[in-house]
Amino acid sequence: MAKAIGKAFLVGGIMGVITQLFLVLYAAVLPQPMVDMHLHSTFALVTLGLLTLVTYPSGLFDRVQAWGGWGMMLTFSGLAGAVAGCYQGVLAHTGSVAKAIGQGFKLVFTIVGIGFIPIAIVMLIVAFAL
Amino acid sequence: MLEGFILAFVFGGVLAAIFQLAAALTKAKPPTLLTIGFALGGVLLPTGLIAWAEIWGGGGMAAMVVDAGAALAGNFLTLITTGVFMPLLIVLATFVLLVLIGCLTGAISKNHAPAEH
Repeated sequence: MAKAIGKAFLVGGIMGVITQLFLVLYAAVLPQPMVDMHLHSTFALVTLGLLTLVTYPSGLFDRVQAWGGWGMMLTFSGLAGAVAGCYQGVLAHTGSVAKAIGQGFKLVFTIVGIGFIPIAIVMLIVAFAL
Repeated sequence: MLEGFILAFVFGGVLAAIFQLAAALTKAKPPTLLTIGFALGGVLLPTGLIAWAEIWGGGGMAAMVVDAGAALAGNFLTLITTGVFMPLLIVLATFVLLVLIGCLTGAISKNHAPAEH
């Protein structure tokens, strides 16, 4: 188990460094008075997702995920890869692109939807406490 | 600047290691742990812990699903306290874009899933 945790630490750390690189690049290209700081994070996350367009077809994504486990799975790139796998699985079984896209939305928005329930409760308490 | 990259490595690594350990101990499936991580990011937002991790962890925190939960929570709070909905829409649009990128990735890749016979 310690070996798997070490591998996850390494891959998670590398993904953090790649994202930091995107953040620094976007901050240099789009300075803060022009663009809100939070948008740099959004752009960095979308770029991280776009990275999957290169790593997944080449097979690199699968190899890194198999080696690094949660180091890859926990990132936005990992989520995009999970959607890609889900899309391919549904397409192979049903042959329907619409169903495959729908399943991709279901995967992500189930996580977001269920995760939002405790978030909404806590935020409503915070809002009324203010 | 180097310090920022080192901290991003440490924060990204520690978060990944925590989830790897949680997965090994609980045997929970990835979607379950991702949902818990997403919710945890939002629920911990009022404690100030997430803001601290965002400042110090930079990309190491931003890359993770945990921070996406915090972004949703922060922008939901903005919506209910000020009525400004655009930041929340941007977060939701990012998720939609992520799904579309994932589907496009699946469409252009050699199928990894076994076909049904």
